[in-house]
Amino acid sequence: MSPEEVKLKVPTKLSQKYYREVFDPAELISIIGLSTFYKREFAFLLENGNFVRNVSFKTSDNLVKFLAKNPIRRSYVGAVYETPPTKNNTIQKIKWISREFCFDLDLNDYDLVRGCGCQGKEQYCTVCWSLVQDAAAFLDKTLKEDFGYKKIIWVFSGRRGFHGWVQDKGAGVLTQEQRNSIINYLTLIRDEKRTQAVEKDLKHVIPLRDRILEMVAKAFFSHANDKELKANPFKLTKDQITKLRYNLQRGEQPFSKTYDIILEKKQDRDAIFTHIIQHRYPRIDRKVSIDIRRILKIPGSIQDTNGRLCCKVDIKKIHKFFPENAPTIWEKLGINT
Amino acid sequence: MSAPDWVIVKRIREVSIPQEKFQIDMEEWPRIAQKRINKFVQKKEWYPGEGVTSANYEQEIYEEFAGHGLLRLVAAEDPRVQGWLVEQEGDLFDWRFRKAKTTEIKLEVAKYLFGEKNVIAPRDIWSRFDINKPPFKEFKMKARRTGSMAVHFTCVPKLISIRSALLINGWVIALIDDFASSLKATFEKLLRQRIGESKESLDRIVRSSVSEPITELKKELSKVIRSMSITSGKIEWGGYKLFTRQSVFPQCMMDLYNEVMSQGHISHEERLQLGLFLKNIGMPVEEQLLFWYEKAVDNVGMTYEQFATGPPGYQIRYMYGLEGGRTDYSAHKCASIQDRGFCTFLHQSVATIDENLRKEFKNPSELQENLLRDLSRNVVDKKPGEACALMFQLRYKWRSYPVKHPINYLKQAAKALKIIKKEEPKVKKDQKSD
Repeated sequence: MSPEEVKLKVPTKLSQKYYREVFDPAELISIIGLSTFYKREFAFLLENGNFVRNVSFKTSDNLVKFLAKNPIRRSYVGAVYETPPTKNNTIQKIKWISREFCFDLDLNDYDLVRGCGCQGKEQYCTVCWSLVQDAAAFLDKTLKEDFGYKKIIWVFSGRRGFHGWVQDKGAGVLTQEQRNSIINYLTLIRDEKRTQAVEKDLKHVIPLRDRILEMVAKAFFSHANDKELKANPFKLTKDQITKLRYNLQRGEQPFSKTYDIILEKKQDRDAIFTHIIQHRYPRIDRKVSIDIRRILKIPGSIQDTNGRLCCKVDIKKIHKFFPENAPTIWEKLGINT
Repeated sequence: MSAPDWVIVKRIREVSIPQEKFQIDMEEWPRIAQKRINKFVQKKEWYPGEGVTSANYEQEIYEEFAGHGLLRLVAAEDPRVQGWLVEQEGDLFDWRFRKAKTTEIKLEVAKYLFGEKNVIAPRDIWSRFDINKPPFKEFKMKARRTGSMAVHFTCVPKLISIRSALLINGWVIALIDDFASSLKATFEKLLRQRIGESKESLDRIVRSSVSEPITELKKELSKVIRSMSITSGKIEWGGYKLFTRQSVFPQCMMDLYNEVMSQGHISHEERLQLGLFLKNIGMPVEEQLLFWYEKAVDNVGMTYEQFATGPPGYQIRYMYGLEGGRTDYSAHKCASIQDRGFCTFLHQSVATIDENLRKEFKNPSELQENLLRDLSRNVVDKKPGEACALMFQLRYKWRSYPVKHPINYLKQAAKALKIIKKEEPKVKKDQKSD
């Protein structure tokens, strides 16, 4: 048995019951739409560990029937085919033509900077969970204000992160080059798992730079303790820390102003900015966003290792959402655990 | 107003002169095409119909499209010609755009290439955006607005990637000239598309009565263009035999070269990186075949004959455009090397780089020490171009801009070491006189 199988908490029989009695494909359809449903790729991790890709369904009822009938641990949705695979139109011939512009934010991508001591996909606390909450809020605002997108849906990934779905009409047909350019624009940390080098030249992208100060730097200083602020690279004096805490508490002026007032000439702004970015700036799984053949968990489906639902999360309330707020399969089926 | 006629990717029906002018004339067209080739060879930059009467304007526009049209047909048949033509026409377009006399002309070009709905004219920026808001104030929008335009971000992925312009609500706002390289890229993409369409029309032409002159011309032009690409640019390095002087190689190539010499093996991408570099600094194909045969370990047990005629030899000849699609490949630029190949300052740890540098510069002067420190800092900050420029300064005592192409590095290094002299090398003169 693989370690993954040992951790398996939800019996597939129970999942089948959930999909048969409770699962409503409307949530999925509200994200991927109905018109191309029959051309969508679906994929499944089966109970025996086999992974099946390139499955398509003519209707959402057929999908529900399939989920209710088969021993499935996890279910995924992918891109739209030009024509769905059949016996004559084999997988070698098929083409994927579009998929929503998606984001995958995962807490374990922050392992290098999780000061709380949590590691991997299985651990989290309120301190490190705020990293992905902030990341989702920051990306949502940036995608709307800088790129002009309007319809972005956020889904709890079932374990330790969020998936963002940009539903705007033009987003689905972005080319790989265009997706890549957006991700490059948003990525300030190169080589996130090793050197974490930070790109600091933001002089032309004024709104992005201001947003970083208002959201990322503010969050950093709100979470930092006195010991951190007194150490390198900040070297804040007691007075500066008091002033900072006072301004953060009152919240009357834009944080960029506080940032400018607090930091004096002697402080190395470059190093401070780098430190803030390394510790709190969003880390995006770029392959998921750029490669439309990547698949994401079906919204409304069950995470097999903890029984939690991949549920929609209101971005305005994202800072109040924690994994334990996601409904479980047992709650949905009215089973006492 | 519409895009000017010098935007050569315009369709014939979109050109402002009478359509009946554009009758295929196989007596005249080959001559016109040859004239266009000659201008490219002489690196001439020109606007058609500048300072001429209306009748002459029509004639010059006709020649533009006839000459270019015929070259397109040739390019449709030969990928090597296609690469050459796209590069030449792209450069010419870039020059024409940058030199265009009015903002209106530039705006029309942008609208044509990006699409009308993807461009906001300078006068409309005022009404579409509140330019009194802070980002616009910092961008000095009020002062710049007459020379600025907004373009939908999907049209300018490169500008987005490098965050080099103001981006608000899906619109990239910058000075019109700042969009020049994106327009060039779009122009080249559209030209490739048009060449693809020409291929379809060529299929029809082949079946018609004009197939013979077209075939003849294709042969002739292919020959001319190929010989031009051999005599221009890269091969002139052959005279200096810089491929024998590792002291002028940039660090990445030096490392790969040494790796082949010592270990006999580097990855496929690295072989391509080094092989194309050696080719483009003048190493003849026979010499490259011999280099890999002698130094690479995966040729053990093969005779030179087997090597040269087998898959390894095929790959080398392919690089030289002698096999397959017959594309005359250029050396990889730094951006491609950083993405797919081996860049010392990006792919090697700062500790290793520092250790190697300390071996090379044993008792550094104060200046060298500062340069070494700055170099390490740039490696940590993932600025390989800047780090490479400092390496250049350390070695040759000349300041350099951030390095973007290994060939440029080598050229400057050869100048610094006075290997390349100001006067033309003898071999090149001989080639010219041939």
